[in-house]
Amino acid sequence: MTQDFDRPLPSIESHPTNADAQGNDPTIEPSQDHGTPTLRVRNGDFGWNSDRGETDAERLLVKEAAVTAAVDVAERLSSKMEVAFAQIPQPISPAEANAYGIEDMKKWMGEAARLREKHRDFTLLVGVAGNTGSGKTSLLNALLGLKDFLPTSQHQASTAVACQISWNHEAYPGQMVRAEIEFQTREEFERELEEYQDALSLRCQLLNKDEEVDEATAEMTEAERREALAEQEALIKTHGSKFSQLFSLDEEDFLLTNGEAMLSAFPAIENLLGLNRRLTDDTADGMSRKIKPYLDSSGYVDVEGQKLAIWSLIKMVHVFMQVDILRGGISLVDLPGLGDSVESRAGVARRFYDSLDVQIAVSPIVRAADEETTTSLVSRHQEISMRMAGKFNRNGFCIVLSKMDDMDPEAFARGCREFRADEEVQAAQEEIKTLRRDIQQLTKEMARLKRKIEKASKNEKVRKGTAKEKPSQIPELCEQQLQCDTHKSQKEVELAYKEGQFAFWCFRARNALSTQRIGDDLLKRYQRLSKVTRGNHEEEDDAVASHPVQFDEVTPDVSVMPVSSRAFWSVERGEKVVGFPNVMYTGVPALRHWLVFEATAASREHHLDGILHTYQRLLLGIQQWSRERTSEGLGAASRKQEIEDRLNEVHEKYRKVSSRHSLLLPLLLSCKVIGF
Amino acid sequence: MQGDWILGKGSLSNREPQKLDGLIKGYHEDMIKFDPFPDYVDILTRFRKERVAIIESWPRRNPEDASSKNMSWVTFEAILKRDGGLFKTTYGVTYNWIESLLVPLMELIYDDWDRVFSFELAKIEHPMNLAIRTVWKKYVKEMKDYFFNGACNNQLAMLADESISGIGNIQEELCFRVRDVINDLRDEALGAKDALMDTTHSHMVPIFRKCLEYSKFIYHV
Repeated sequence: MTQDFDRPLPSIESHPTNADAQGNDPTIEPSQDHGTPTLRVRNGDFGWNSDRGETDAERLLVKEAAVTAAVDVAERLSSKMEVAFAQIPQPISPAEANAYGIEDMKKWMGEAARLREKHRDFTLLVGVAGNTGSGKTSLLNALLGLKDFLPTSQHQASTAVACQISWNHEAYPGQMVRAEIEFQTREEFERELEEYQDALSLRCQLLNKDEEVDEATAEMTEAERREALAEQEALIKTHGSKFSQLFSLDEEDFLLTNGEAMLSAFPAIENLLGLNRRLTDDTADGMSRKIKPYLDSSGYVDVEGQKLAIWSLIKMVHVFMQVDILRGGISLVDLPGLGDSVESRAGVARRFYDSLDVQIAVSPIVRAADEETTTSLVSRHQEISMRMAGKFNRNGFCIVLSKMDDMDPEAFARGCREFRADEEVQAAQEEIKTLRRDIQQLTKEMARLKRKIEKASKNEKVRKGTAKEKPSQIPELCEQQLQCDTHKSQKEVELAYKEGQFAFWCFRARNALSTQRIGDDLLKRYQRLSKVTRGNHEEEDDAVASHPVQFDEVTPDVSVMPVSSRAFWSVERGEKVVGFPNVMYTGVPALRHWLVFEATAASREHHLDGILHTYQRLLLGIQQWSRERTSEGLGAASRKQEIEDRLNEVHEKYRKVSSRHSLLLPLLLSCKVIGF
Repeated sequence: MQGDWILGKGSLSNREPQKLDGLIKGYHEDMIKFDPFPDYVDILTRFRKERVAIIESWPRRNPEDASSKNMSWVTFEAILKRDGGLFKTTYGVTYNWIESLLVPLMELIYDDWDRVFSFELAKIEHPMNLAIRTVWKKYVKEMKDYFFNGACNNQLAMLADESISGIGNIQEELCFRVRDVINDLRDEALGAKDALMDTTHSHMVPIFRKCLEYSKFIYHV
């Protein structure tokens, strides 16, 4: 019995989000909190330097706002300096340049520009991986808050190309959204073509079993032959859709021509290989339409007068735009699987995997109950690589269980013994049954009253003005009908609420079971790894097999988040979705929160701290320099120079400290760079 | 010399830098002592035994099962053509010979690696920062003492105070750089993993290519 089932089932209102089970604070939403907090300087100190009891999220937002303000101030100062330099009469002697402080200022401007670039270039790569149909692209669209921005598998053809989405630092009119398209190189194209030709030729060989074949083929059993044929068919299907769309040739033609000859015959294709193309638009919708032919197999682009299925030549699409979740350097990457049968696409995925800061693996929740779920989501090599990089933890890796709403609550209740056995579940089911029965009876009663009213009305019309005329029954019947209708409406509202609550319990129970299933798998994997590292190979299998894994003891050491993108968009549109009374229940806000304020928070804060410290030094330095140059400061400047010359002697001694300690050399160089 | 009255003799000029020198030397020596492969001879011995079994498992349809029959020569050749890289079959098994060879070695070194890079390195960050703050505090105090103990006039003392306050943030920046150095060291060390992959790949690819020439013969052997 799971922990969740054991505790009293609370009302649906008391569960604002599935995130509460993960310990998240659902009240902080990046989209709501990404405003500009007020920066206050208290007692000469800046808010970010000390702990003032803010939450991590609040502190991070204050620091982001502080950096934005510092960048702005430094840019304005730099522009003023540029203007001032332009006003200095030329030519200028070294002595005059020194008097004006030109060198100091140029150095300052250079450092401010480098710092701005450093902040701009800061990127945290978040990879979203999953097989076709896992809901990976829908999830990315939900994270971006842009429905249908990237084409999903629901639209016939899914994304087959790696797509990265980053913050647009060059958002000007006409290019509020930018995209850079990277085409395959000629070598990659030819290699893929070769793979296709090999598969075609092997298929011929395997099919011609009566003709003369080599010894190895002749010795294959029928089952082996069928299996090998299936493999070739799969490869032919993958590559064939691309090449047949591109070249309009038969399979036989591909066998007779080599890559070079084929490309020479199709110069429009040859000219695209190795290219980079840039697209711009002012809106996300406009850009979505422009990149679609590059991302999925349903679109064509006009190239040199020919309509080409250009998606098949694309290696990578990089979109730059300004949406909330990308603030602070987060860059989302929609990754094709590592096991993509197209080598160049798998290659792109491999290129990204090693540099990812955070990984999100998406799998439909219905598959989470499978024995091999975690194995298919993360290979042993990926796991050990992430562990060595210190990223196989709750902040570095998240398993998203997608399509959470893909469930028939009643079928789940019938199929899950523990859930069905719960007294409150039974009571709720009974209550739903009673409500449905009541509504049915009330519907019947209303129909009966309606008939009665019609009959009475007819009778009254006939008897009107005759001796048989009686006082009308209709008002009383109408009153009864109204009461009945009100009663039925109340029952319907109650039923909708109860059904929603019951569905929510079912979703939550399945989420808990799936999470535990994954936790169980990960624990076994960790135990196996522990045995390997300790060298007890002999006992390994027995230990894992006999380990009594209890549901309640298993907590995955990575984040597991159930999500429903479909419910998210329906609720966003204001539609009613059973089991999802508001957007918080869909898991999307919880995932956004995890990404922005948990997974990437430490790296972002470390980066912001570094930038802020340097800005603080730069701005204090310029403030002091400015005072020295004012009329009241000039008198004391020569004495001050004297002090600083003396202090430099001290600093020089610090700079020389332990220069032989090579491991710490970068630290010592840093001391030197920043003037210590 | 005109400035001798500011520095004095043998006090501010030597004491704190020497202390910082000693501290950094100490931490440097601690870091040098960190050894992510203390039992590398043992690890290599264990890996040598394992690698034979791994390579023997390559032709098997199910590499985890010693009694499994061999894969078809078509699959065998397809993997060779991919230089021992990833190959996903229609029957649900995914092969990656290079990774299968490296994973056991990475798993063998993981424990010591994790100890050094996740714990021991992180453990020196706090005392290093503490040392920097302590030395910095004394350094600032000594400087202030020189200027405010009647050694110079008020105007100069005021200017000196401004200069000293202006550099107060440097200690925070230094502490920040300590973490950067530690992170960089960890990232650089991770390069060893990639180097291992590249080296294995460059050693194995010529063998796989040669195998491809005789694949059907080798497969039968």
